[in-house]
Amino acid sequence: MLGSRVMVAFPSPSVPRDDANSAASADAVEPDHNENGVDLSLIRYTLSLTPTQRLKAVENFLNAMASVRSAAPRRPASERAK
Amino acid sequence: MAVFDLGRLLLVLGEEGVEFIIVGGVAAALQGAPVLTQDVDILYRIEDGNLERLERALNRLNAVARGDSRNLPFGRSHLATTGHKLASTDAGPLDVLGSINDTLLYDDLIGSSDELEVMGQNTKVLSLIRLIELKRQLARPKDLAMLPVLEATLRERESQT
Repeated sequence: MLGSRVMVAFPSPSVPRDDANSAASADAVEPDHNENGVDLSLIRYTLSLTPTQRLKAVENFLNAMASVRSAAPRRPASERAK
Repeated sequence: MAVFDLGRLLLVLGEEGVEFIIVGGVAAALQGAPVLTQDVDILYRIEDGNLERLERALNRLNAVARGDSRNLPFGRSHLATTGHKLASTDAGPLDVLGSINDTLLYDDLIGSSDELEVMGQNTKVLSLIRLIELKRQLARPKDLAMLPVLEATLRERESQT
């Protein structure tokens, strides 16, 4: 009908939304995993970092693993072969 | 002292003016893929001046052949070959590659690299698209295992731009 006005409501960032509805709509727009089971939320997180922060994250993990390895009691060779 | 100091590895290579591209798992991580790796892989330019700079950098890092009890450093003639040199350094394991798959040299891939600021210095890092292409070509189980994460990262990055 000509001359009529159609009102379309868009959620305003300034208006708090119901948590359950927000989570549901977020899931609908941005799935956490893709069809291969890849964690997309982790990818979004790493993409939010700078290259230096990404390098530091790898480095921190490697150093943590090295600490764990050096702290773990070494098993005798006879047990390691099992 | 930290076992892994990836920043120092890159810093020393940069300070010595070595022409190199970061490839492999660290390249994937720097490009935003949530992957973990055990070493840094660099592809360097095989050219007299660069070999001299690379040798100097490796000496500063006390690099020796990994897994060799003789703790042999890398000589210029060895670095001039296209093979892989696996090094242990003060700052962690470093794989120094003259080529990828014995076919692709630095000059073949420099055009497919991005310059990223890492630890305050501009560093050449293989692009995510080229990394995915290489992984598909190499097609080893470890390469294929990483592909879904790299491809998802590329898609996510493209959707954000």
